Amino acid sequence: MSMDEAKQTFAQESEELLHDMEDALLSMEESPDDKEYLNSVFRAMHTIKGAAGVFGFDHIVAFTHPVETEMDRIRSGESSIDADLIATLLDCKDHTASLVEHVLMSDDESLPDDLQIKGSELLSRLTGTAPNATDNNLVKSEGNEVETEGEAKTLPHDNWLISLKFKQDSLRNGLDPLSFIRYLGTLGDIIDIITLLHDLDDISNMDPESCYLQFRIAFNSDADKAAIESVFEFAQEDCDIRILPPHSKQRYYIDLMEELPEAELHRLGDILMQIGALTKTELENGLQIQSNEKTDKTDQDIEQKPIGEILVEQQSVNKALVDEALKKQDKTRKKVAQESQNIRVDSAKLGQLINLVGELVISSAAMRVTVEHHGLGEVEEVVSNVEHLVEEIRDNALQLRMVQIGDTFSRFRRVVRDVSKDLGKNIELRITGGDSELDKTIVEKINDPLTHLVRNCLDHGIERPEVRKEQGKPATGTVNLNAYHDSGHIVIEIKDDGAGLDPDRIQAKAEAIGLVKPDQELSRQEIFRLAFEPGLSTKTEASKLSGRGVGMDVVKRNIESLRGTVELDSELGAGTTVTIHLPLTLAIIDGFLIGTKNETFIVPLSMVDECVEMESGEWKLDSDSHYINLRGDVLPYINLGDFFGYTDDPSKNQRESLVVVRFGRNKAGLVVDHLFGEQQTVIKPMGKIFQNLKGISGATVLGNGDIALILDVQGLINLANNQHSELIRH
Amino acid sequence: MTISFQKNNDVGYLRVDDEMTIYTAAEQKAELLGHLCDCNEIELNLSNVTEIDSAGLQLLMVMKSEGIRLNHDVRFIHHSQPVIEIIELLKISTQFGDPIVIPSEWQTT
Repeated sequence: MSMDEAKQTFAQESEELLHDMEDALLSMEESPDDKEYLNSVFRAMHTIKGAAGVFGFDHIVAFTHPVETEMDRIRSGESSIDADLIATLLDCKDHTASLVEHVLMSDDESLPDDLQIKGSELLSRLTGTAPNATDNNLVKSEGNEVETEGEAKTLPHDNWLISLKFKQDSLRNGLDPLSFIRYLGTLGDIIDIITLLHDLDDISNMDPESCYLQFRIAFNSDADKAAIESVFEFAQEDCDIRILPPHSKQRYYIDLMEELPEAELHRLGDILMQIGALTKTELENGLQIQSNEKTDKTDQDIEQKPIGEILVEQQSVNKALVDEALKKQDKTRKKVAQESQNIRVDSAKLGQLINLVGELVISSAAMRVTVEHHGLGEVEEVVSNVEHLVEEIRDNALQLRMVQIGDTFSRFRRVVRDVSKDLGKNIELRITGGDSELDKTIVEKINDPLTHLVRNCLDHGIERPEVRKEQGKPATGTVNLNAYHDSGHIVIEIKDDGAGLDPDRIQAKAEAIGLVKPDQELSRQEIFRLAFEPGLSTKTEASKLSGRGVGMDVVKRNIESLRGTVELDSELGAGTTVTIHLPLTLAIIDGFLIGTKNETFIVPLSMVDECVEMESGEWKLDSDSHYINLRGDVLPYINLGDFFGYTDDPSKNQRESLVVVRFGRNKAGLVVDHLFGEQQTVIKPMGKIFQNLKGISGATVLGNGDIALILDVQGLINLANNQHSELIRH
Repeated sequence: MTISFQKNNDVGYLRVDDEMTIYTAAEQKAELLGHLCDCNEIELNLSNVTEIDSAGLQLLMVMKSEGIRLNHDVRFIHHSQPVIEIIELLKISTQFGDPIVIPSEWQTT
């Protein structure tokens, strides 16, 4: 993994963690006693701190460390949670996000002043102390802090304990034990040494050329275990070396162990080695002993001693550490089992897969055409099978890109919270249908329009508490976010119980800016549609959030670019509902193939309501105003052949069919010559020059290689309706 | 002989005029311990010890412990610079318990 990729991963993980943290904080406001939320916040800060430390992002460490400490204090009950604290923590979360962004965006080591100041302010708000607590030195002084914590207090000297027992032959082998101790002195401070003579019962038998020296050394150093062990590298053969870490180190090891990624399952020895509590040699020795024991014992029933026990016996590591490592191992085992259910995939790869599936769909259609053309009866079954499979592959491939809209929704909890505080309003956000799924690209693009709409609700929709009380409404306003699936579309509703829109004011404003003529009569629906026109805002004063009259038109444009629609309905004094219809996916749809004259067209199958035979005699066909009486309902229609300007076929009296299409609440009929049936359709975008073409939204390749245009049903319905209402007006 | 010995009132005055290393240890051990057994009090002058290593150190330790065992007083005096350095390194001055006078010709290394 390159540094950049690693950084990217760091950013992504931080973002997720911060997102969780925000959720937890917001939930904490509602149920401050739930420890799980507290833990979640703590975990986010702790993990980000750890990861930032690995990358050397000192600013992030310096900021997140005190926050984490504060969280720890809250966890242990030393501090309590209140609304102010949560607000501060939310700001801390935002600040961490900006820090993460800063380190990713700029190579500059130093922190810009504004971020620095902001960080200090937040920390002083958080801890209630002087702001200089955020000194960068914090990172370095961390080691000292550990010493003052907990049990370390009782041990004035927090040192490594090194025990060296030289074997008798070591002098003869040319070793001078003293030289090792001298060298050790270069790594840190030798606090104390006890020098002993071992295995020396009778002085008279002592061989002065043998070595009887034994040392116990208290050693203070920042070096890690491996570095200390390397001092005695050459003595390994002739010396029994035990290195026990200091007490503070134990804590440090346990912390390190916590921070180990839980992505892979490691063996116990590997875990201990990874955090530096155990050196390679120690582990090898331990393993050696383990396998020796195994061969020593002829009785197969005796269970092999666990490596952990051996290592403790060997005094290579301390028991607490082994226990901790075993816990970690267990945790990782669980996590790995869980994680294997999810895979992160580059979205480009998914895109490629879906493109290929698209081609596959086209090819399978081509196969079907060929088989039918040559009348190959015996292949029929195989082809059906393949088609069926292709269809399933298509559905599954598209499913891969589907994400739940809930995440997008829950982001608004923060927006609602912040804005309502700013505006002094009490607003509650209710989310329903968060598990509705739609294409990831759509989710990404819908975020901005949604934000705008929600802000509109908060700013213009919901009234101040005192106003609401006067009107007999509950003081707390409600904004509902709802999503559900409807005929191949997803419907998103943003609903508030606020002031509502006044149609008269909208019309007056529209007249004032020349959008409509003064004497024009508009239906309620049409008036509300005007709200999406550029330059129309009924708010007399623009606020910092909205009301400048730009935005609603942008919202509409954004949604339409996703082949969706947006509608608004409002009741003055009771509230406003904005409904967004969006297609579930942008790539492949089930289409309905129709033909008129010699052209073929695709209508998205989900929009087809019914197909009926068009018989001029039976139907009260009004060819001037283009509407028919369909079982008592007035239905506007468009003759596709006429609409696209094909010259009339002489064989006019051939049978025509009426395809009734529906979009949302609107229906219209399309008069066509042929109905070909269902067809899997891979949507290919049209070139730029065709972008303003009315009634067409894309194109696709048919099995026989022909191009079929995909009808923009929604556009056509609007056209049909307008045609219809204009004629009525005449 | 690299060790000079004088006995006066049951006090043995010894002086090592050589290095105390693995090369000399065998010879020195026999002689030093021999005198230790003979005298109730031993004063060992280390001023001429030009070099000392683990084997030499071991020998000094053995003398001290043997002295304790036999209830003989063993003192080291006039430590030379190499001896002081090793005593400092291993922090065994309290263990040995002899006052150490830093010689005036101390060379900082």
